[in-house]
Amino acid sequence: MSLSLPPWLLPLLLLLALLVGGWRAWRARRGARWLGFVLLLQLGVSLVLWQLLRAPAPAPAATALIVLTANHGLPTDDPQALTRALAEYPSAAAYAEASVSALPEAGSLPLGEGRTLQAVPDLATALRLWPARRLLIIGDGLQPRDLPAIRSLALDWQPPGQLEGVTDLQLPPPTPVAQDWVLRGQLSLPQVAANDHSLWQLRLLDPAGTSVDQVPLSADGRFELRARTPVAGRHDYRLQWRDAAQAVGGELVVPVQIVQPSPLRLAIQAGAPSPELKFLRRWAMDAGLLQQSQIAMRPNLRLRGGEAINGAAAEDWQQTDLLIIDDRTWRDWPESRRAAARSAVAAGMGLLLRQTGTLDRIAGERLAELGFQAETAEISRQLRLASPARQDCDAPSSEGKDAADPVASGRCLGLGQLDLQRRPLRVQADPSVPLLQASDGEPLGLWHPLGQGRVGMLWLSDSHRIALMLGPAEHATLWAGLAGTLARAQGTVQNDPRSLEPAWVGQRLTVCGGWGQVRDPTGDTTDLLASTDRPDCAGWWPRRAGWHALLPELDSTQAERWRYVRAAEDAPSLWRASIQRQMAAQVATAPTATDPETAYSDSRWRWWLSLWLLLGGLWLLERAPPRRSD
Amino acid sequence: MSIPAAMVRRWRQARWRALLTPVLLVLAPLLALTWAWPQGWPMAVLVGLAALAGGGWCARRLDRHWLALQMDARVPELEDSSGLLLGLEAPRSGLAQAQMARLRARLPTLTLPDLRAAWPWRATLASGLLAAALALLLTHWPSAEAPVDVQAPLVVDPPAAVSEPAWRAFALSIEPPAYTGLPLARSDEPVATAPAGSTLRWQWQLDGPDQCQQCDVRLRFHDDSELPLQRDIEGQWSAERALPEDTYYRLLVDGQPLASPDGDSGPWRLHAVVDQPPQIRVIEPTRTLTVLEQAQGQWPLQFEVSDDYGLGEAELQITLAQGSGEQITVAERRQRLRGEGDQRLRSYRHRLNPAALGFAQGDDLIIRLQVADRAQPRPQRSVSASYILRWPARQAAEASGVEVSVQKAMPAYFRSQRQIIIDTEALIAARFSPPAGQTPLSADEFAERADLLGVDQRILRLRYGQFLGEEAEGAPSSELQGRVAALREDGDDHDDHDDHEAHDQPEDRSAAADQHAGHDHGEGGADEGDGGFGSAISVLEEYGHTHDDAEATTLFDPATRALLRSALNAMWQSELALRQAQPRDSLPHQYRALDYIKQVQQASRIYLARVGLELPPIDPSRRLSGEAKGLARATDRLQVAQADDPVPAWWAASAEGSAPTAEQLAQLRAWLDQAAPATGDPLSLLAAAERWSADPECRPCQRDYQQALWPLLRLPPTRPSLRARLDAVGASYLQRLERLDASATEVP
Repeated sequence: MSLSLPPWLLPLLLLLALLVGGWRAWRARRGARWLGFVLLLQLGVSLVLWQLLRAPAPAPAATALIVLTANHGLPTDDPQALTRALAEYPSAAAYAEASVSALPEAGSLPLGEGRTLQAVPDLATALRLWPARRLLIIGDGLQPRDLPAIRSLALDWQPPGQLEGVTDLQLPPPTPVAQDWVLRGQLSLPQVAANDHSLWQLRLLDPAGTSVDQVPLSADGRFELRARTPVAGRHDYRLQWRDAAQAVGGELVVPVQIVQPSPLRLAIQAGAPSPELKFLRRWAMDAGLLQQSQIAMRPNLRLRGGEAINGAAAEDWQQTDLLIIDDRTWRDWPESRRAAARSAVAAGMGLLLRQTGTLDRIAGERLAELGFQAETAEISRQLRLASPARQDCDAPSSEGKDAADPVASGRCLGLGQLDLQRRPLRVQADPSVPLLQASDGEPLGLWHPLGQGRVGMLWLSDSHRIALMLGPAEHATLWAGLAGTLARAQGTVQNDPRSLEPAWVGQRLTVCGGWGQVRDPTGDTTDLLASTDRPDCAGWWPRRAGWHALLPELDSTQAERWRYVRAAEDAPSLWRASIQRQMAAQVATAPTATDPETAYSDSRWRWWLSLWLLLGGLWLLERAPPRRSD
Repeated sequence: MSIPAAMVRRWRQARWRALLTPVLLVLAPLLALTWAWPQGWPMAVLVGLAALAGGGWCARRLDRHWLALQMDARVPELEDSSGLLLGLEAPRSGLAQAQMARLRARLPTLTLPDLRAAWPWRATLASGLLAAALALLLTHWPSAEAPVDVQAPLVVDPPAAVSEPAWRAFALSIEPPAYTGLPLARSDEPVATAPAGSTLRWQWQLDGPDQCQQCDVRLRFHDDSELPLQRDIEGQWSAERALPEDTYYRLLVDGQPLASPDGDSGPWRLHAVVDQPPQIRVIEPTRTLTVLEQAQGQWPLQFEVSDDYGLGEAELQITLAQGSGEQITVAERRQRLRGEGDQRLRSYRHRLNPAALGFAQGDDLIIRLQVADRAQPRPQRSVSASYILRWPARQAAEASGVEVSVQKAMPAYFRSQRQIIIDTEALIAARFSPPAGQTPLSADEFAERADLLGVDQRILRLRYGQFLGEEAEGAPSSELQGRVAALREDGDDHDDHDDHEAHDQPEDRSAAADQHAGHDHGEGGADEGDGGFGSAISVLEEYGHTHDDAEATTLFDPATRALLRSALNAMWQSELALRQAQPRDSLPHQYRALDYIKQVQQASRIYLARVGLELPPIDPSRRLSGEAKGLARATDRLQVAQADDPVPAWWAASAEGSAPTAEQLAQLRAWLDQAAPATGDPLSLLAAAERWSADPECRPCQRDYQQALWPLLRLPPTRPSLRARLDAVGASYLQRLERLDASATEVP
């Protein structure tokens, strides 16, 4: 019963009927009182009728429907297959009489064994044919296309057998050049016994095909791989898994986006030269960050480099993003200069104080000006950094050393294995966040916000040993982390995490945030279709695999952003896993089978009763003998 | 007298059969031979002729007598008279004539037997089978390397008339260096892998207008060097060149790259497999240092050496170090070793007899194996690590746990004290008991020379004093030194003979040495001059920083230090007496000093602290003065470590999909020449760049180029990521919070 009539037609007809009825009653000339009653009753009838006709269609009968989706696993030649498949469901009895509809992705159709079986183009079509209130879904689940059609339907679904391949892939967000990025995910190999998993190996291959990281497969299949990329851009890494005989089990493209952040401006002020400064300055200079450096050699003699910053007023620090200062300088600065630095921090600058000496009363007071309450503590000076241990290094090498393997050799000395020194301090600030932490849980640095800026304090005293023992890259990464935390905020808001979700050719992709067009890998641009429910979101159906550039709307100033689209047949396990996850979420939130009956038992009988009463009143008036008018 | 025709027929048949039978026998083997070995046809003909001749000989043996015998034996009707019919005997008698006539008449009625020998079927079959087997054997014999005819001309179809140069046929022959022992190889692919140093010979057959006779054909290599090809009479283009290292090349015809028939216009890679030096694996001894506890008969050595092409001679270098301290003598010898195994893998076993080399307690025996391969022009040599056989000296118990290295010190200049004693004694003798004919020294001269000896004694004392951390008292004044030097030059005027005598008999020296105070006594000890004397100490000063706090000097152990202190005290006393012109009084002190020094010499070890940073010398005149005048304003000399690296820019361009231009190619080439990167494969990068540059639309070329470029990217210093700026809402929220805070603090 499709009601595709224009919505104004019904009131118009009713109004017409009311007018005709009113006119006829007036023509009857049975007195004003009678006429008034009839007109009143006629108005009431038309209103009730309108209400009855306008109200939603009566609820469908409590029928059930079986829907076949992709990978339903039913053979085409076995008439008993469906019955057997149904037997696995606890609610199979509800579907004893149900029809079967097959969605396009279901592929081959099984035998119907007496049921109605029909292929349908989508779920909404099936629900028109068989208005069901309860669905049994066999297979991977419904595609995004069909999800809107199952609102308020009861669902029965069980995930089909375990998938084979990568079922979860958490891509790294856009990462700065030369910083570690992490690829996490899960690989499912149902045919491999869980205790044989460690024989399998996962490798991360760079765009040139060289292995940059490898881990043995854990028992639950979860993995974590790390890499650094030397150049900005969009790179296709590959994830590869190999069995014990080093035969490739499969591989997957890992799209990674690497960005080059614009350089911070760093000022370094120190009261005495030290190896720590040598390596800090070396990093800052090579990374193009060093705005100013000033090292006091003796009274009135300083080693100066970079720009001259007066520092007497807060405005002098406007061009500086982060000031790294040691306790000697901070102590020697006059009060006005310290106040200027503090107000510069309040205006957004970052300040990092390196504690290099012992703590006395004046030093404690100076620290308190920055909001840190420090006292000497009875803790060991030796420490190791809290750093994730490498899985492949901790495990004893059972199968002997593979000397030919470039990855296996020479990187087991990690940040966490290096003995470093700290000042024995216990520092408090409120509120505070640790900058760095030692493996014993003690922080090595703290920061807290001050106005728009951040103030940090670091009492790790020989980070330069990282550069000496592990190489400048590790040292640079550590300091880049510290500087990035504290320095003036000037970046843009990070991508929303949904932009890292996998996308496939032919599947609708939704992006939010004012995007106008998309440019596919061949350079063709497509206008995005605005979403009906969220005005700032838009979508499109990608036609080609590869990196797609999202172009901002004309009046927007934001830079283009990138989205990777996989080929339709690429990463089937990932696709199936995502479908199954969505399906599971739908099933979890779907109403149970008993809910719909109450939902549909609305109070229409009242309307019918009032209609009957009103019509009865009209009939009585019609039949009533005309009164003699006095 | 004619022979009856019937008989003649039988006879002829038999003779033919006899002639053909050997031919039949050899026929099958001949056929087989010519099939299996076509080049051997003359031999087949010879054998055939020989068989025919043999058959002829056999046929000739079947003469009339044979015929008569056969006839008589087989036909009784001839009554043993066939000889008459065959004219073997003349029918002289009438009886004979009658018999002949009778037989002639009877002859037509007789059926004469077949005289032919049966065909030798079984023998023929046997020979045929044998021949077939032989032929199979011949054809299937594993041929020892079928020789490659390198110079063979290209066999191609006759050229068709074409308007543009085209590639019809190609051959590349590779002649590896002789020492590799590898065979010649021939390839019809322009890409090749060959041992380094191989000679490559290219041959091309080109089509073109007029068969490309006027074409300019050359090869261009990756470094832009070119090799023109020569055209020979048959129309082949060829060139020859050695392959020292990896390269890429193209074929240019009139300046344009020419593509192979399957459309590949290069560049093609020539991969030179570099000859590796021999690899030495030491199986025995297992450690680099073998310490002997007691004498050992033999020292077993075992090496395993491998090489990729062939091993040359192996030599064991044996170094025997004897003695200790400064007295170490080193003897080196070499011994040729014979190995077992093949060219590429040999194992050498040797049992070294240390005793035969003179190895004794306290000695070190150091061996190394040096192996050469057969590379030309000069063989590559590998040397194994050094393996030491040590038989420690007896007093080898060293103090351990001290962060110093132990060095034995036996400075030769300790003998100088003896020198002073000898001079003093000579002086006393010259003053108080001059030899006959000489006047005694005057008192003044005596005092002056005693004073000079005192100067010598002082210098000596100062030298030793440095070991104890005494500050130098300044160099002896130049005036004093000049006087000492002048005196020494006088002494040196002696002739050699005198010197020797003086050496041998120091007591007689005063007599022989006239009035001179010779200084060349002792064990050649006093030849110091300025540089020689105490040079070991200056070495110590240079490296060891012996200047130290006098109380904390660490150069000697305490016992030695006490001894040395006593020696110095004795020297003080001796100097005192000498300066007072009382050499006699000084002598006992001198002997005491000499005695102490000898003890020190025997017992001393110098503990030399490990040294690291050498700071520039401190200017003591400004030390701790607080004087800041004259200090230069220090400029910060920090520079960016890495010069501009062009690779990221190239990568970015390639990621944008823009193929390198000719200019960029030149840059790339220049960069690869200058900054030859340690990683990656620069040659394939260059080739990929050229290929992509030639065809900018080629996606696989882009991928190849990027893959070759990627390993050259270096990790830049990490930059911090920027934290996100507050948006408008957040900023105003923060501002209001702060205002609230401020008002809250103001209220109380």
